[in-house]
Amino acid sequence: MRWSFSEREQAFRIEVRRFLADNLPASLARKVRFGRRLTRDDYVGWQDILASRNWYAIGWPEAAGGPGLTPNERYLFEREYGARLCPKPCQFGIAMAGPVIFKFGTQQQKERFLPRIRNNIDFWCQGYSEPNAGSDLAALKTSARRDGQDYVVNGQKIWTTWAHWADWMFCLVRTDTTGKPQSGISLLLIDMRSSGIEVRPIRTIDGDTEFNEVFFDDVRVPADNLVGEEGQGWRYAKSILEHERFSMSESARSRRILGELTEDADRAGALADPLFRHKLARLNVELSALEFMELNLLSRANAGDDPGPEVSKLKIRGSEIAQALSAIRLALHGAACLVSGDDDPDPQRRTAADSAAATALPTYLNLRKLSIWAGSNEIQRGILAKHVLGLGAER
Amino acid sequence: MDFTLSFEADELGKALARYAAEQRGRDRRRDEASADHNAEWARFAELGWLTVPFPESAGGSGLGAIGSMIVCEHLGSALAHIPYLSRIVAAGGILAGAGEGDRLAALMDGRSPITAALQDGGGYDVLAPQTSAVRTASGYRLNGTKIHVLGLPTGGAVLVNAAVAGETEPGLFLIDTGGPGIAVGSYFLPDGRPAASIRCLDADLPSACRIDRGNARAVLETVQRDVLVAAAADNLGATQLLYEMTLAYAKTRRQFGRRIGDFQHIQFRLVDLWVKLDEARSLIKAAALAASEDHPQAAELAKQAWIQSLWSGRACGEEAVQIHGAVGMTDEHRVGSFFKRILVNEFLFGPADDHLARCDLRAASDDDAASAHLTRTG
Repeated sequence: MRWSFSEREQAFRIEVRRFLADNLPASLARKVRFGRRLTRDDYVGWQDILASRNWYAIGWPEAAGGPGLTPNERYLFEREYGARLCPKPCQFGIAMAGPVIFKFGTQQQKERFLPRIRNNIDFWCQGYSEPNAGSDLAALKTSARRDGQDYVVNGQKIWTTWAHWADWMFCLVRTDTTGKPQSGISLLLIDMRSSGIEVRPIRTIDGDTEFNEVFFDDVRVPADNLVGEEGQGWRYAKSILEHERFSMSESARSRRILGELTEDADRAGALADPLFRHKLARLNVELSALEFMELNLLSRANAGDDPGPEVSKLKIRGSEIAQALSAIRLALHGAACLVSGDDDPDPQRRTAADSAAATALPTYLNLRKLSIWAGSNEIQRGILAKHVLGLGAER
Repeated sequence: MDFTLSFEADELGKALARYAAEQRGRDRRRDEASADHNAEWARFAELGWLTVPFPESAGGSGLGAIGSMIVCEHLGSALAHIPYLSRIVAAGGILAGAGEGDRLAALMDGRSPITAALQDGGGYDVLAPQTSAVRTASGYRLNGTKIHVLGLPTGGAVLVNAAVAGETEPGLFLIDTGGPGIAVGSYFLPDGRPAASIRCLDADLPSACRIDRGNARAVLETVQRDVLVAAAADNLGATQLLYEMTLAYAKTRRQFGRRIGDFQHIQFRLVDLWVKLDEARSLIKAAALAASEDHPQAAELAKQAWIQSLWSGRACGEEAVQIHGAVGMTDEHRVGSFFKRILVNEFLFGPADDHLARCDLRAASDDDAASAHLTRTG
């Protein structure tokens, strides 16, 4: 057992730290610190900076044109990144569409899409959920009918994050209605500018409109945009969901947020309140446990042991802890949470604490999504029960 | 960062696992317990397990806090009564820290067992004992009562922490419980482990009994850290067994025509126990590693590991009883024995909230956290 990372790894970490410190715009950092909404330009501008160092597609192997980091380097990058006030990069291209194209796509698809994802040229969204296919994703109905050199897509997707900003969608569609529900699903890459696509925003409880409904009315998608084989979409989607969960502990970001909360609480005198201090102290231990569960998995991965479905534990605890932190911020600011940034009666008197208070409630509400998306925490517990604990309905 | 065990540590774990399996096979009754544990102690000495945590320079095996974590986890899983924690981790740690090489050597070879009595009912901070020591012409006069002392050896050599009048640091005293002004009471703890109370009423000790060299605070801080990690590991061993028994029971017990583990509500609760077990294990391994390398955050991590071990242990204990149903309420069933092991440990070394109140909110668990605090924007 050894505590430190190697000298080479620590040098890499310093390199990341310097790059982020030198390149993160102060205005963007302020927005992140105070939980302000980010625009498409905020994301794209920052991702351009990351892409200029080839650190946007951070998890990609060299063969896909990525930086080819070792698991330890990748971990250290995430720690440094989360510790800074960097916007969380949009994941759909780099963590989902890219890896699935790299793994299952044709040579032509790789050449066409991968450089544009890596270089932050195309903005991607994910077409998975439907009104009657949420956690039960295999019940999806959006259909793709083969017609000559095209597929003709009809149906509706929902909860599609950033569909209104996206250039492309990777979309699960039904190409076969016979057999098991999972076996008739295919994965299509759809140009969001195709005719017959309509995107309607959904306003969420926090007042944001990052979710959308997407309607497909005889949308023609070239058959060249089918990833892998027809009918194998379910398998491809599952392989990236596991990828997604591994990056969803959010421990580095939660560590930063706990630090900010502690600092703000200290400044407000709240640490002298034993009940408030107790809340922070509890979360501090819970977060440490998450961090070391993650490091243990990393250590096992380095030893060649694939953690497989176990990574669900990181998604469960990571989301619960991030949500709990947002609840503590509500407790810290109290009644000041009720004045939102937009209708502050006296903008002149705004301080940093006011700014943080004004976004505390929307942030708390927004983060409810963490335990719902990317496989709800109930789905994650089901996975663990079945595949790790060996509990399943008797046959 | 590497969490894989060294070859030596791995071998130690395998040997202890065999010992624990053998111990679990025995039916332990409180009336069979011998408070001095002599026969078992001699066996541990023969197997070389008494040297595990101490540095090679002091004649030990050099496995540090990782070694005592491994030993104590298995002892917890075996419900073993042998006072490894109080004699080796606590008393041995004090002797090593105080530079008492000869006494440490005699402890390690099993000849002269010594235990530690660090708790006196006035809270759980070993740096702030209630037992008092006053200087006299010939030495010190001690007053106070130490409670829940485990592994008091025949002959009664015990290390005691006491607040010394007129000094800012506590003192460490090696006392013989047969001496004047000292009364020993024997009893059993709720999990069946034999314990003693040691009452000092104007107990006069010669100067030579004081073994610290003005560094008692540093010695006790290190011992407190290592004891918490080892005690957390003891909890972990018991918690692991509770989890395994409960999972196995859920897979076999049938009600309403199906296994109770087929009900989603039971499945989810078992998953949460599995996660809690993993949280405790991960944090304890990290704390042991940090302690073995004397990392600056080791003391904080030890507290965190201890706290998490109590959260996980309590949760697994409560759920194990609930999921076993009435069977889990019976004295005969092992579930209660493991649960009580954890509960007794909790009040030997301090409840989670006591330690939470002493946690440093500024200390972070990873060495990058300092850099997190550097990020400031106007």
